[in-house]
Amino acid sequence: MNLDPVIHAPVRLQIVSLLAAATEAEFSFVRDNLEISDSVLSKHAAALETAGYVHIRKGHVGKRPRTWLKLTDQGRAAFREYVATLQQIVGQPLTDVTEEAG
Amino acid sequence: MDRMPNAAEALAEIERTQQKAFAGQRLPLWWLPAVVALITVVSIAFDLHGATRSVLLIGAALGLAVMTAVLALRARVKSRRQVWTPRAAAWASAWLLSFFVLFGVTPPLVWLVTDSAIWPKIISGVVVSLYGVMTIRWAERQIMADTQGKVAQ
Repeated sequence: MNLDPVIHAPVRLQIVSLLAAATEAEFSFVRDNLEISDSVLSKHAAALETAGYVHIRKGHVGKRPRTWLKLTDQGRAAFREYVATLQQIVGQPLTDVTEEAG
Repeated sequence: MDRMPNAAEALAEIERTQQKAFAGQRLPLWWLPAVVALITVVSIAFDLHGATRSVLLIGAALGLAVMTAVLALRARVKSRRQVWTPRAAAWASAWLLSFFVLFGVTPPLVWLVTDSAIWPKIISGVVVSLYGVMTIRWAERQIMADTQGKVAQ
């Protein structure tokens, strides 16, 4: 069973997990919740955007610039598949391993 | 989390991250009393007449619009419906219903000591505001507790 390497990296897993629970989240909210720096978040968000999993939207609230992140349909599908794979791995009974070893 | 997690760790991290994100979306404590105060002003306005009534109603409407706008501006995340469970929705509904019960029960108690049409509403507003401030964090924890174990995808 292969886990999606784009999602499975530690920080990107946290980013995608957070975005999966939301329709959209502000950049600063993601940063503050995950307790990472702007540069780390920007780097991993860009990687997720390149993979087609995340859409980055820039806008303004009054005069203040805001950046919003959201999972794309492709990203959400990839995350669902990733979670399903994890659940399959975790759900494997130990007897399967011992039978293979024997 | 600095290293590649195993499958169980990854699942646990997904749930932990989502729970923490939900916990970060709390209503500011001042917001609920402000809204209750404005609703109380509307309620009192309906007992008055003429220009006073109009001014109070327009002021309260503008105030409620500002409260809504403030909440919208402060929102840093837009949550999905999928994260709600029936138990969490039940807790939220019961808590909101308790406000209406308190609004209905308080005025008759105040009428026991006064014939005023306005004082029962003012006292009801104060009581409901205090109740809201005292219970909002507890209500949020109850609702949060009932979303645990459900991973939003």
